[in-house]
Amino acid sequence: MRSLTILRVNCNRMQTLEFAGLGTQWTVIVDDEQFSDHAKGAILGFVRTFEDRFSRFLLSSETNAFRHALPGTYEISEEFADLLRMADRLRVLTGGVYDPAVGGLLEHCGYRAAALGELPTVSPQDFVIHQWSLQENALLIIAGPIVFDLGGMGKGYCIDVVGKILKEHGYRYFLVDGGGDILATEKRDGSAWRIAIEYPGKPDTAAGVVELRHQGLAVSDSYRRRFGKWHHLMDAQAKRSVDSLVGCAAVASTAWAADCMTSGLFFAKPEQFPDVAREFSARYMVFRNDGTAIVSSDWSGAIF
Amino acid sequence: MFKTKGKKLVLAIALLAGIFTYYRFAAITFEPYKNEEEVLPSTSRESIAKEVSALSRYMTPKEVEDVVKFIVSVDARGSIVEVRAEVLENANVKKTQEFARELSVIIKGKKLSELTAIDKVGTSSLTTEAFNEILDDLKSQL
Repeated sequence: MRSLTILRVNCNRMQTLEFAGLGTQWTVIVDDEQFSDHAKGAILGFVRTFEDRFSRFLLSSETNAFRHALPGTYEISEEFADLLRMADRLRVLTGGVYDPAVGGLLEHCGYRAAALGELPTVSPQDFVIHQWSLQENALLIIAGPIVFDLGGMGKGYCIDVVGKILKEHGYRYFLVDGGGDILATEKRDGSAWRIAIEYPGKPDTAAGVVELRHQGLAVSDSYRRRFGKWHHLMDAQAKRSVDSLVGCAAVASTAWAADCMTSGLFFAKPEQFPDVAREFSARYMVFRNDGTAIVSSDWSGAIF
Repeated sequence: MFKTKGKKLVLAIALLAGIFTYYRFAAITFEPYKNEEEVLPSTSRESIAKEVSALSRYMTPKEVEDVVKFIVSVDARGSIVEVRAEVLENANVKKTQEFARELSVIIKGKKLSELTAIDKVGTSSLTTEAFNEILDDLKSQL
């Protein structure tokens, strides 16, 4: 089911590593003549471990550890605490509309690991999302079991760590593409990486182009991972899919911040966008379903 | 009573006029490329090819009319380089800055095949294997 294999390694100045991980396709490019096996192994090992630890579809993961938990306080790993701490910031910013504790709700709507089999039929409106909070590295579960779903926010974190691994191996010029979300330094010649932003729902069309230089980019839309009236972006308050916008893109100093920004855009009210952008120091573009977009005034890049 | 209704009507007309003016000028200005070859803009002021401005009037919750001048700078290809907002009358400066933080633009899109020198495409993640595996189950529940 889970695959993490090297598909291709190019042999030119730009050395490329491609693999599947976290349920999507990854490409790591180093603007260097050498891309060591040691560095590649470290990247693949980290992504594999990250998936084992945080995928909701792997029942042994840390995000699944509280599936049957009773109310109480539980020690969690420092990395999981970091992820939940950021998720909590998003939860506060969006007034609880975003909540990583929607994993159980997604499962009852059908988006679950096959190993779980059939679940008791519960209307989404009747499903209870239990409250949680963090105290340092301790998770306080207030009322009942929780299944966490980190979503794109976890992937952004993972992309940034891959960038750190590259730096630790001496690479200064690289691009990490995790399923369309990107972290990039500058190129060896000092130029920026030019990235086209996919038009939501039109894979052959660009909505614009941005230049990345030591920045992260996240792009999200509501066309993918959709099943009829449902979508994987779940409003924890209304207990239904979020459909207020068709897509968005964000640029920030890291891929994690950019991913948090796109999550915030999907779950926040339009009047909250500037506040969310300030929180993550992000620039953004929000696609509406009438062919127009809202663009933050500090957005830099071509718009088509 | 009549005075209140009349005042609200005037306020509503002023608000609509402001929105219309802003949308009209801004949206037309930001309809950029029209099949021209794409070139990324620089964010430096040297790259500014054109500046346009529009007055916008809107009402505050305290029923005070604000007049704000929006100045939008674009480069030769129409990309937004800078947006500034100048307070002309009665406006709360902080609120004006917030208002200027967003723009409404028309997005037509351009075929990826028409773009040159692109390193990557930023996209929403492809559908996961896990999602594909349970898709039939999901559909059956609709």
